[in-house]
Amino acid sequence: MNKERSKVIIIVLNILLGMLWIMPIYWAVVTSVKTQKELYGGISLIPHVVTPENYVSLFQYKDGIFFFYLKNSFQICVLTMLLVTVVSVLAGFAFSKLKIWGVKIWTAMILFTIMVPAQALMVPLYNTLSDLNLLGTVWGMVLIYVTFQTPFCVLMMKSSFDMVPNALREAALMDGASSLAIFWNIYCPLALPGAITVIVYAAYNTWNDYTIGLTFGGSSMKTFNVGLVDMLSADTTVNWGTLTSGAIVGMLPILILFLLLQKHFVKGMMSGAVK
Amino acid sequence: MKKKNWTNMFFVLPLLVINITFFVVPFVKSLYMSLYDWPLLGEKTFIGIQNFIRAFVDKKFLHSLLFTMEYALIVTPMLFLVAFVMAILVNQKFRGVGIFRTIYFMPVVISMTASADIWLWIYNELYGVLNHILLAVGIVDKPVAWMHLPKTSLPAVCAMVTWKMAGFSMLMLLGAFQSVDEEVYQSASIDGASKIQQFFRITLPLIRPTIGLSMVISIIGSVLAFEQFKIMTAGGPSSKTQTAVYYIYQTSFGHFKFGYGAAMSMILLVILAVLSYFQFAVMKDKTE
Repeated sequence: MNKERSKVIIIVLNILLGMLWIMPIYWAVVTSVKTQKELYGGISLIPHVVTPENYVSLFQYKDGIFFFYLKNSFQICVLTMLLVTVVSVLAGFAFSKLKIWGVKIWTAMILFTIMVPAQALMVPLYNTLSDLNLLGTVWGMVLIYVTFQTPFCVLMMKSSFDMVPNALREAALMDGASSLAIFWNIYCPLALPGAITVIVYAAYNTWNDYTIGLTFGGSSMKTFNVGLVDMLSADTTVNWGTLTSGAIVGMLPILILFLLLQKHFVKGMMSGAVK
Repeated sequence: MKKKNWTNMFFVLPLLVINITFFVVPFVKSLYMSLYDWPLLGEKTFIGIQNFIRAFVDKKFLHSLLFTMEYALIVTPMLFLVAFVMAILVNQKFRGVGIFRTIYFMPVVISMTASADIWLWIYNELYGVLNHILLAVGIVDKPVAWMHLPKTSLPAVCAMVTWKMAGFSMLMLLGAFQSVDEEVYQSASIDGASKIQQFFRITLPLIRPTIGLSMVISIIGSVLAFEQFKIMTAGGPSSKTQTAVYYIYQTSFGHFKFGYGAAMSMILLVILAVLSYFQFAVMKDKTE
């Protein structure tokens, strides 16, 4: 009896806290579909009229500049995901299964990169990008993201490959398979779960970034988040319906990815922070 | 494939080229730049350690460091307490517990930009839902301009960050709770220990390393705080809510004093190195 009661209390507390936690997102969604009149006319939890006008005005803002921001963000994000995956699968495989020259130095270098956040190197990075004519370009941004994401991803892939037994390779070698064929046909499929975690980790960190975009994107490669903050903090003529619709558009892709790949998402983020 | 051969190097070559170009070289450059008066355009002059001396007497920089510390000291316990309660609430067996775990974790998934946007609307002086509720309940008698004074904007930003990040610490703590062996509890209850005694005598001591780790991670994150203040308070009023990273950003890219910006970044790195040392110490504690 007592056990039943404490279970009910736990569930009730969860419902209360859960409602509080979902409220800000719910509130943003509701705000973004309200008419301007309702928006500024008090608190209504359920909109009387649902209208797409705020989303329309978001994408009409400054002749559709948010299409441009979205295009930049998607382009940067997809290229970063690809490059991070390729670089870390290759290097992770080498660290796990091959004999390579200077492996101790490279491992130390990776660990050191993990410890230094990009925020502490903004000035020399700006200088480097400027020397290479990469400021405000898609590759400039992608390479910075890749630099600071790969170290963790390489370690992730290394531990993925570590779990594949060496006996597999020896058997394949006996059958006369080439090392490239072994890598591609045997190891890559087995390391797929690790690679998905890496892809999700890259998507999360790139899509949600603000600081790197702000510093290195300029106006030619302005990302969605940077554009949204510009509108939010500099333009007082924009109403809150449009501003919240911007937040919804910005969070939607990553929320969908999260709901689809929850396990990988959580794994990537948790081990990414603990390192 | 057993022997070291040069073709194996091709597998690590992309990593090495990128890491050396965009990490090793900039890192060394950073040390070098910090010794110069380095404007965007024009002459660079070697000035030795003057940038560092200047940082230690720069009232704005010292204030930004103090403010960052203040922020870290408020947000870390706040976030931890909420996460701890959450972890207890979802470390239970009932149908649908997964839904609550997902809900608590959802704010972690969205960007700081989107969160700050949403919360600025909640905190809006005239139309924000928070002031509406506070006025209706009678806690305040006129709308509060949350973002206008550090006295209200700092706790307001902390509340937003707590909402956004608590789910993260919750998952760490949940993992720790679940790693405690069931049998330990069973034998304790045979010995007559109550649930509450079990919690304080068994669970807490066993998960102590995870508690430490989640706090250190939160402190390191707070020391790097920038976006939340850039977006929500713009560092204002009169730079009172400017964090260290924010001040470095402004010096470097607002006033284009690259040398001075690099020097302050170095100081920040030393602070981070000390904190990372604590992280390793705690993690070692955890694996033992």
